[in-house]
Amino acid sequence: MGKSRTILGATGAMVCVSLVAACGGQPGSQSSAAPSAPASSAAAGGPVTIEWWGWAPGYEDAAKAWNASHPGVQVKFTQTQPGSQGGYQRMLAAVKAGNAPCLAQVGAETLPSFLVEGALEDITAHAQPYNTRFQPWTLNTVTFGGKQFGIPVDSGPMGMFYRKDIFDKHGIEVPKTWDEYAAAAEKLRKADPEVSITTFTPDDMYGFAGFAQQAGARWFGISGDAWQVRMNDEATVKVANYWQGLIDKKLVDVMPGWSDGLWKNYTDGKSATFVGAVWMTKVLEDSISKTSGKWAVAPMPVWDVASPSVGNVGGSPNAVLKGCANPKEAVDFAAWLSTDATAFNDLIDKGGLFPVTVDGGSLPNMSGARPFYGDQKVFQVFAEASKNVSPDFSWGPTMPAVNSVFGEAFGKAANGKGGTLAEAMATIQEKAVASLKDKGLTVAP
Amino acid sequence: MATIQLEAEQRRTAPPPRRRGPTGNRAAGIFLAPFAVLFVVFFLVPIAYAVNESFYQVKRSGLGFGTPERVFAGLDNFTAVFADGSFMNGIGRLLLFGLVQVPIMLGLALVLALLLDSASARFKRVFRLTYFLPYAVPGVIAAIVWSFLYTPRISPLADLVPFDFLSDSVVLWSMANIVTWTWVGFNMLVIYAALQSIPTSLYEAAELDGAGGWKTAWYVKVPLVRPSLVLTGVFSIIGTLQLFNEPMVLSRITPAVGKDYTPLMRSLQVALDNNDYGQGTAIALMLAVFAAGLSYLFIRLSAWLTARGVNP
Repeated sequence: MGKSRTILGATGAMVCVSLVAACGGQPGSQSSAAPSAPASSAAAGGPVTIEWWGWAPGYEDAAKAWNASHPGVQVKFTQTQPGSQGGYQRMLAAVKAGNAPCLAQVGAETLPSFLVEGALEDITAHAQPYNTRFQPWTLNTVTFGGKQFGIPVDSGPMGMFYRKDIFDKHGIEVPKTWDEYAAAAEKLRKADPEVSITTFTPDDMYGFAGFAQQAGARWFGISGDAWQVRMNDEATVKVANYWQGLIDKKLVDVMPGWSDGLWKNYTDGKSATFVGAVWMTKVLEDSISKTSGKWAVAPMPVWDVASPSVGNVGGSPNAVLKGCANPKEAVDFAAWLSTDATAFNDLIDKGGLFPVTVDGGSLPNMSGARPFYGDQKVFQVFAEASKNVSPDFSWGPTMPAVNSVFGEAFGKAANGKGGTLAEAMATIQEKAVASLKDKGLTVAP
Repeated sequence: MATIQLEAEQRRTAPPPRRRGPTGNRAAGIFLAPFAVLFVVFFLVPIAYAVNESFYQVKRSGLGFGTPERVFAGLDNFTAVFADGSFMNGIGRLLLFGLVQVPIMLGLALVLALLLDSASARFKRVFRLTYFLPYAVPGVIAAIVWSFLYTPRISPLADLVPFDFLSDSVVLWSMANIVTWTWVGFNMLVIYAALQSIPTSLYEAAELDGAGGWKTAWYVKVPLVRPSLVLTGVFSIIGTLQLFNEPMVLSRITPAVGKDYTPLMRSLQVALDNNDYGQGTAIALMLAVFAAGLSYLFIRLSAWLTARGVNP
């Protein structure tokens, strides 16, 4: 007995020792003290260190390029999970714990939610000098109540990725409107019952928001001192009913977004188009690489050729998180990342990011040919599309909460297990309003 | 910890090695310290933090662009747990799950243990290891692999069965299948260990009385492993209420499993997606209360049944 107790104690001691070693060696725990330390050293002339969290491909290299040319302000980049897959939770937890990074990648759709959690620093004064470099509408997405909370990086104009070989094989014209798209869907199913026009991903709220935005939906707005929530407005219901029609006629497959089943469907050539944002360019190249060379990009189908409005999905500004000791340096770096010609040209190639600066369209990689798309210069299609993105779609203050109920309601409807997509949007509208009221926010009737 | 202190005390009162009194005490303290530190830091402090957190709410007003304010909320977070149906729906789902899955799992575990223990069993070590092997697969990995087997088009299995593993009415039992697969081996081992400790003289006595293999199993072995069955039963009840890995993984591939499918998932949804740690911890605490209550009821029920001579 005595012996076994000794062993137990020794094991405990070892665990403790290894734990202490692990804690001491962990960069995160030391960095918690970082924001205050460099501030004083900056005053003394030493370099300032800016912690930066994000997940966009190409960010790591961008930080290296900045550090090489800016010895006075050193950026330390940490790769996180994509925001909706855990990155945001980690950032908010860090803010709550008081050891958040200075700068973080926060999607435009999540920025108001961060603001309501008190997780953002007002950077209006520091950002002012750079604002002339950005397209005005992108500044609207980072400005709330007259104060600016982020530096725009990219946007996500939508387009239609399609399998050129399948379209050619069955003699199907590239659809220009959603009516033509539905007709093409029917023709394709008749020609080959195994193949559908697309795989609909009902749990992808942000993707669906792009469709709704194109049709003129305005999910959130501000009226006086209250939030307006209209997630089942007329335009949204129109789009929901359109997809419901395709689902009812079994013209589309239904799969969860970002799932293995989805990628397998596309790898196997079971679906012929993917309507999505510009950054899908890179995602498709990486996720379904076996189909390389068979794809092409066309403009997204429109509702009305006379006013060809296009949807937008995503766009991730960099925001300064609460408690940052060097907001000016953080903003300087963020502005450089978005506006420096060399830096952003790299991001187009490595991250599939689409610039939002006034002169971003002229960067060399914007006219780069991509082998996955049969050497098509795909970014030019999106550059054209971006001119028709309606700029006045804004987001609400509880998007993570709304997103967490969207998939279930929309998914059940799309899989024929309860109601229609339009009815699901009514449910989601109710839950969205409730999520605002839970936070104590005022909702306009 | 209590046992060790008790022993230390007994040693001190034991007369012969007189000088060891205070030294032994200090040694015990030194050996206990690592455990005590870890126990306090990673168990007691987080619980105290959670309890404290559950009494606070964050208040905002208007558009919410001002600085949010953290205020004491009394029991508001706890009433909010029951105000919307999510928590109780989850509990109800798990009770149904437990009523069906726990008896099946423990029944299987008992049968396997008895088979391994029977006189005619062959290749005992091989089978014992085989039954136990699924437990060695980390829970999330097991759930992911099973989710592949459940997904139409990817799975070689899903297209052969006449039902959809991931539909509303079936998905709960698809999870039960994963949990059973994982835990039968573990429970079997606990029961098997108890069987091993039964003195052979009892079997000899049973044989003399004319009991065959079946009767020995039912009238001798099962009653004697009752404490192990109660133990595994309590573990299973707690495990059921904490069901998380399987529904979390399946929620990514089917809308039949929402983000609030089980109380633990609801707790995380509220804490992380809604960023409401106060209510999130309140849910976790209520879940702990439920688990304690159910375990207590189970133990009382089992004692009551034994007192009335119901077997096992």
